[in-house]
Amino acid sequence: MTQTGRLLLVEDDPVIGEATALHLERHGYTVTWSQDGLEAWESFADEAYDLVLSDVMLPGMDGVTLCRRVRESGPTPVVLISARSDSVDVVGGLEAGADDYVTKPFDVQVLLARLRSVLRRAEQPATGAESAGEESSAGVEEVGDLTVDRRAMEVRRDGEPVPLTPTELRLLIELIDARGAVLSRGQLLQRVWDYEDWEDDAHLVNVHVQRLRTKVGAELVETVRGFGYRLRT
Amino acid sequence: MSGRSGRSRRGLQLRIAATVAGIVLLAVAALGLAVHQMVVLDRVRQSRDTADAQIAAAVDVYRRTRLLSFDASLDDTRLPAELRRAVRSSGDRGTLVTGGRTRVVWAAARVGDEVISTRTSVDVVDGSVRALDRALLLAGGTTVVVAILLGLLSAARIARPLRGAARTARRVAAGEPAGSLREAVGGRSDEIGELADAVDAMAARLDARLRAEQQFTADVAHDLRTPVTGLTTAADLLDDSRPAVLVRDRAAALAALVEDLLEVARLDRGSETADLESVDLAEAVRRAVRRGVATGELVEQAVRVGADPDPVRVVTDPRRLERVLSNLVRNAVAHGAPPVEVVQRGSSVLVRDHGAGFDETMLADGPRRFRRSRRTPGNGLGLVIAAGQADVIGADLRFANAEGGGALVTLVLPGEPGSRSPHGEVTIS
Repeated sequence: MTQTGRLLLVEDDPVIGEATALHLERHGYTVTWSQDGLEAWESFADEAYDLVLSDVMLPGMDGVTLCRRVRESGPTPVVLISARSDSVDVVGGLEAGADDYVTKPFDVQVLLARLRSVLRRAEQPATGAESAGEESSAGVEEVGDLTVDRRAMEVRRDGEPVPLTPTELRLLIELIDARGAVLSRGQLLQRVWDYEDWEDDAHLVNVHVQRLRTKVGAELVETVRGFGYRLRT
Repeated sequence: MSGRSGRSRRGLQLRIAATVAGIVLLAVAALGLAVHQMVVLDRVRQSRDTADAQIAAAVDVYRRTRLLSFDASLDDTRLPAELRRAVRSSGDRGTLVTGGRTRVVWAAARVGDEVISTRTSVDVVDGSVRALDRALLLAGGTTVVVAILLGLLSAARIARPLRGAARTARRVAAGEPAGSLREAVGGRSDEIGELADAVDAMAARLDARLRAEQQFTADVAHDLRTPVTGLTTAADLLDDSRPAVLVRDRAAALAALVEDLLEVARLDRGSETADLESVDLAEAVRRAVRRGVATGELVEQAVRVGADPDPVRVVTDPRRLERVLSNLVRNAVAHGAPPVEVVQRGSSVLVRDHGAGFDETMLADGPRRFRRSRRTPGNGLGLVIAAGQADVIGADLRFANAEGGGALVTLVLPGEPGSRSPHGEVTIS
């Protein structure tokens, strides 16, 4: 399947970087490859990218810092590449606002699937609204002290806009659509991230839920220990 | 185990106490006998002196009055021949003691051609000696009893720290947190303290070497990861020609080996923690097999999955549980012979194949890295990882050979007693 999109690839290892760039180009992406974090940040400031795919360990500026800066400047999704054993890096990266991550050594097919899924979310983040039926397609709904406008992709809390990333918005909408039922991490991975199954650890869901909580209020998303999460309304 | 070591422990303490008691008993007995003997000999000597004085007096009286006094008799036929001879041939007076328990003290003297003699019976072991003997026995017995008690006590003082040290050493050997032997024996500066220090030093040295080896493994695997990732990513760019397929295949194998090594290194560090969730165990088994089939590692027909009819939920780390299960199944498929059966039963999962089974070292020691558990190729890391991950989720992994041949691995998860449904008939689908 050929994709379109402008990717900023940040990877300092020459072989991994070049081979990954070749893979992505082969699948239709336009790739700018940078081997240095600082250089990548300058490139990001100059050009418009649809997605940033960055290693965590980088010269110049590390991937987590790069991710945080990208997030501060706008909604461009970030996918991190991390060594599997460095789960601290993964959590740090997700907390800094990364949408997803792949672990080294990654399967190219897995990487491509993740990129497709993240890009799709960025393009039409509120796909959940279509499956949710008539009432929500009417547009605006009230959840606790939140006002969720699916068509405008906008969430307000006490009238103030809440800056959610596409992934966070999708997570919130899935929780709303579950109508108070508990969603397991596996189900959330499937619905929000398009994972067929939980493949890696639960960091991805945990950290995104944490991020969502800090933005929409911690009391709204309840943890059901050992099972998953549900929306408290 | 406790029976055997219990007996040998008691042995040391009893042996020391018995030795002490034996030595004291011997000493008391020797002393008692010597005292008894000296008293008896003293008595005999006194009787002899008395008899000598009497015969001297009797001779005096006889010379002057021709009368026999002091019960003396003239030319007594019972007089022992040797005394008679001795008195006749030389000297004028003599004494002789014969007999055992009742001594007969003979005293004889020559008066011209005649021999006059006295005969006195002496009961050497009379009441006073018997009283002495009783006192000696009592004192000796008391000493022996006290010695036994003191022996037991001091033996315990030796045995107790040794026992504590042995317990600590066993814990060290089992890999449990144990502290040092020095702590177990206390601050003593004797041979036991010396032994404890020496064993502690040995354990520390072995531990340091083990850690160095683990660190080396971790470093090697870590440094291999970046070039291997480059290799696999680049190899994936190749076309589908046979040489390209071969390169890709080996690159993937290399990457898998590096990842296994890194996983072993993480488990070695012992810092892994389980991320608990409530999991339907039968579903987890089916999923592990499904994923193996999906990635092409397993052939669907090669594995038969069975489960209890009622679902059993366990609280565990699903990712680690799946890792254990898939490693067990892959090992059975790769090294055993079909059919491979994976059966969930209560909070246990049984993985059985119909191959040659595990060899003796595997059954005795469990999986060891880079030691093959079967007579087929493979690095054996899969089972090491399975055992390590099972440990992290608090599960028990048992390796055995099934009746009728084939390897049988049983994974016993720590079940929630309340949530476990009764075991039903096992159905194999």
